[in-house]
Amino acid sequence: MENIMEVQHLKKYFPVKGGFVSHTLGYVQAVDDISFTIKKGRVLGLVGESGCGKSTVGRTILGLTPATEGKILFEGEDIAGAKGEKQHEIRRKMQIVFQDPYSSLDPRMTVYDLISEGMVAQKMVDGRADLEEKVNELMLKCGLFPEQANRYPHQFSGGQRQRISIARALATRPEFVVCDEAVSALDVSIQAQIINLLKDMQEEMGLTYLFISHDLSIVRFISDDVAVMYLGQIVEMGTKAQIFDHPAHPYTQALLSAAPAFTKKEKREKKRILLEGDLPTPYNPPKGCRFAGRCPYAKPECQEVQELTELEDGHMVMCRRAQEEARRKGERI
Amino acid sequence: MKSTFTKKKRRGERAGETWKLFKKNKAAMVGLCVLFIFVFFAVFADVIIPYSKAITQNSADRLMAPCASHWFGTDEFGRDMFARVVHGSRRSLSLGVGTTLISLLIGGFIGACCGLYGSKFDSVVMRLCDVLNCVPGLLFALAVVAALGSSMQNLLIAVTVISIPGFIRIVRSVILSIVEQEYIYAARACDSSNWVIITRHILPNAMGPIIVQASMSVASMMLTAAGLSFIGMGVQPPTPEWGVMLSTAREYMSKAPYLLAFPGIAIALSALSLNLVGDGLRDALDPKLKA
Repeated sequence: MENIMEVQHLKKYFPVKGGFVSHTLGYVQAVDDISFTIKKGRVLGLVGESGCGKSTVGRTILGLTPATEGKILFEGEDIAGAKGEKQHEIRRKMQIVFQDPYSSLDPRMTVYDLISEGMVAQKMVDGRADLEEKVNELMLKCGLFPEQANRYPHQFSGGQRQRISIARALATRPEFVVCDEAVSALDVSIQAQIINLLKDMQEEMGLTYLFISHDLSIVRFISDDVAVMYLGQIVEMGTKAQIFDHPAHPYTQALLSAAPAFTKKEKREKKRILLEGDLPTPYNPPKGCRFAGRCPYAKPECQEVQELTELEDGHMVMCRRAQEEARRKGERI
Repeated sequence: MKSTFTKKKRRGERAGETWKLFKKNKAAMVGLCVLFIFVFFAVFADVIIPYSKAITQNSADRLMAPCASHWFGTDEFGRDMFARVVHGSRRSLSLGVGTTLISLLIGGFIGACCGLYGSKFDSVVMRLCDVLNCVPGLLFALAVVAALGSSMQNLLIAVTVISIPGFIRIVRSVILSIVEQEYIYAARACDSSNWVIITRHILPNAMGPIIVQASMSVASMMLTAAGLSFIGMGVQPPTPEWGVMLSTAREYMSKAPYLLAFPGIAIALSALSLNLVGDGLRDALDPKLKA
């Protein structure tokens, strides 16, 4: 399988301005040197607590905010800072579904206009009849009633609005879709419907998703691979099974322990790891392991710079202790 | 599922919906009717009553109370007040609407640039606006008129300049709040051109506050101009203008209060009707209120 998306050493710093003549005082390191790849047709779940830079990753990949540094390879081509023709082409192939279906749909546009906007901008239709037919088809596909096409977004419920967002994102027939917390704002019952819609669409259109979420159970359901972010860095990455069954990073372990247990067996075996302290500010993050300040296993050597290292095929972790443990295990065998 | 074919509503249909909604708003309809009457007076002033009646002095008919031959009475020079109010509507309305349009265009353009492109240009413009805002509007207009001489043209310049900062601020703040919305990101994500984003997303969403500001500005422009004329810095007698008429009428306040009443009512009514129409228009354009 080919890599559809390859991100190499991506950085996104936001300048903090202040003072009388508004000069740059420093940078918020929202995304600090992250790399990952997504294979065609697969779903990468990106998890982490709020403020860790998940959404920034999604927006930077799409070029909605320029990257500070690093490469974004889409189908083998570097698209960081692409302009003009190239950008136009990429933006047809890459789309985004936003978190909040209330602010992501223009309140002054009808559903018809919202869905057709992308196709018009990309000149993918000839004539009004063709456009009408395509909008019709998309609405049906996404579980909307075409006779409601002339309504405005505020006349729909949250779940229906998210269906509109999805129809809009799929209108240009993209290959890669960023779902930025696409179901977080919805009720649990609606979440299931939308997740199923996303999954159906993926199978039907052969889509690749970058699925950004803070909800572990949803990520577990939809993803093939999972990357865990903490304070602008990816601290652990691997297949779904590797992350959920053998979490190596203490942060991942703590995250998983926070998810509710359902079966008796789960409840019996579950050990809740409570983290001390707060998320450090990304304005001036710790030099070594960023998690060290809250880590129950922290040692002095954790203050040194850490690297993302492979434990076993594809399972990467940025933690000294986990790496040492894996080495010991390897020696024993 | 049965497929029903989606048809896009045509522009005319949408305008029809807006009009239907506007009609439901009684206050706005009253405002529109009153405004219509004023505009009718302004356009057909010469047909209704000849201009000569508004300026010919007739000492025999000085300060007559309203009667059959002079509906609104006559002023201190025996000029027919009805003719003067009717012909005054031309000056006053065109002054209010004209200056508002000009300052809306200039202020809106500068404000939009500030909101969209920001940074240094924005800071400089905002500080300039602060400076202009520190000077009381009427005083500034006075200074302009005093420097350039009192004429209709200079009056126009003066009131336009003082209302520009208001428009810059309104347009800038509205646009700043819109460009950070996710639907703008969504539009950019499918590579809609800047033109499309500005005309289809930003402008329609920015319309509400701007319409209200503009309609209030027409009224306040008329009042400012009337105020300037009142102290003799604007339109010069014998040209009929509501402000000038008020100003001369105050000397005869006890003897002939109707001299004060008619132009005063005209100013108040036209200002009120404009505000009502503005409010109604803002509501009618808001899709959240469409059934």
